Amino acid sequence: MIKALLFKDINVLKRYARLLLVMAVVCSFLFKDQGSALIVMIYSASLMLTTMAIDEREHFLRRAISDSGRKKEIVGEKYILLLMLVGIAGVLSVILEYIMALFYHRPLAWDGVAMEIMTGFAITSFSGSTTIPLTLKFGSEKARIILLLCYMVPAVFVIWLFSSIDITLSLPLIIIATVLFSVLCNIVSFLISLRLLAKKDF
Amino acid sequence: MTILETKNLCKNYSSFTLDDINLKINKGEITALVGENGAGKSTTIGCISSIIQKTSGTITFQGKDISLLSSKERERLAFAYDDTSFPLDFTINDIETYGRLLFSSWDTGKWNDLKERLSLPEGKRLKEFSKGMKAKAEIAYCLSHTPDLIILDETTASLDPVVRDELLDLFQEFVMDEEKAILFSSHITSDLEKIADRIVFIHKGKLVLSVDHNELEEKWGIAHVDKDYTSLKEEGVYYERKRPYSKDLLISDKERFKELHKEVAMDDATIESILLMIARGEEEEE
Repeated sequence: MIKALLFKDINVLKRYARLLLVMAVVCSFLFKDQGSALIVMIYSASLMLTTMAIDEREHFLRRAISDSGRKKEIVGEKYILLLMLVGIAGVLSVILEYIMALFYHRPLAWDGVAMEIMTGFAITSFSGSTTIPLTLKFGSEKARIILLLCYMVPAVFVIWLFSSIDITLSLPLIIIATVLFSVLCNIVSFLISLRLLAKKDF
Repeated sequence: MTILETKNLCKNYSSFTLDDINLKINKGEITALVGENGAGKSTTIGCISSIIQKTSGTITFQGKDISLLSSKERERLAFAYDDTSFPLDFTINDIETYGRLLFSSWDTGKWNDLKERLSLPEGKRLKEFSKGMKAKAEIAYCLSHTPDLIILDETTASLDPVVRDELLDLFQEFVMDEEKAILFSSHITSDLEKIADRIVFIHKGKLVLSVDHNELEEKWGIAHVDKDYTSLKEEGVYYERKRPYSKDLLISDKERFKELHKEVAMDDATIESILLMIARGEEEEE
């Protein structure tokens, strides 16, 4: 089931892949020092909402539930997709940072890149875990407005938090804390989404 | 033999209640769910497909609670709706890949046959398809995972007679081996007259009549009687529709009624006339 749903979503997102790539390249030039990874990761994660909006427009959940009756897998697939999108954006950002370092003949600041990726990961995990239940509850149109807050609040909080931490001393700790934070957010979000979908009529 | 059964199926909304639906779908039969718009046909189908949460009652498929079916058992059920639910960027080949990934019982050979038979274009995206083409794709998808029961919710409602006829042929072929069945909701009564074996009438959330189609054609009739006529139980009067100067009676045994009332004018009962009688009869009484 998850394979089929991922196929459907990746198929839907194919046309956004080129845009993501262009955006990543442009951001790399615009934000030469830092920040491009963050933007690319947030944009990539927001594509998950695009798939949910298309599902809503085409009444796809009606088809998916009728075909299988497996709501757990239908919800779970969105979290896997989110992880994939964030992962792809993260890897793309690292590659571009490396190319930019070669292009500008400067050493690559791995700590800075890792920190940026981790910040992006924390923000997108939190926002993504909020996006899925909100979209299931309110629909994609209302959720878009609520999402502005969902992205802004954690972004400001995480950037403030991470900027006040000494990178050189605690990077492994930050990575562990970010991963734990993301896992926790997504588990709670998954359970809420599952409950929402179980109660929802189409 | 029963393939799907609902017992006391209820769904409560603030403005509508689906009330105690007891439905039996038998193998080898095409069952038509008939009713006016908002009668409860889609709610019944929605409860069966799990897209609507029932308030109470049970639904069993091949003797097993539908919510407890394994993935493989669930594949024996197929649903088709009035419009495609696939992303409009999908092509026919994408639907095939999706189906192959989803269903272990997916039959690529059958899909290819249907694709050819229904002239489904491979390169085009669904957004370039006509409504009829989309419905054909939906039906081909349903048939290709080799289900035992297909449930169609107004799938043919907005199609032209040529496409409808093509699909009705497919449905008849599907149930030919007497092991499979179709539950078919529609308000296009001409389609139901052509293919339905059993007609189930739903009105205001209640199942009001379930009758074998052959029996309906042979035995049932509509008698036109005087306004003051009071029907007796033994006369087999099922329903009454009051008109300004007369009354229409839905009779379950027209021959017997004719014997009792030789002077009474009698018409054959059709699905449409019964539907109108049930829906409008009450309306006029109100």
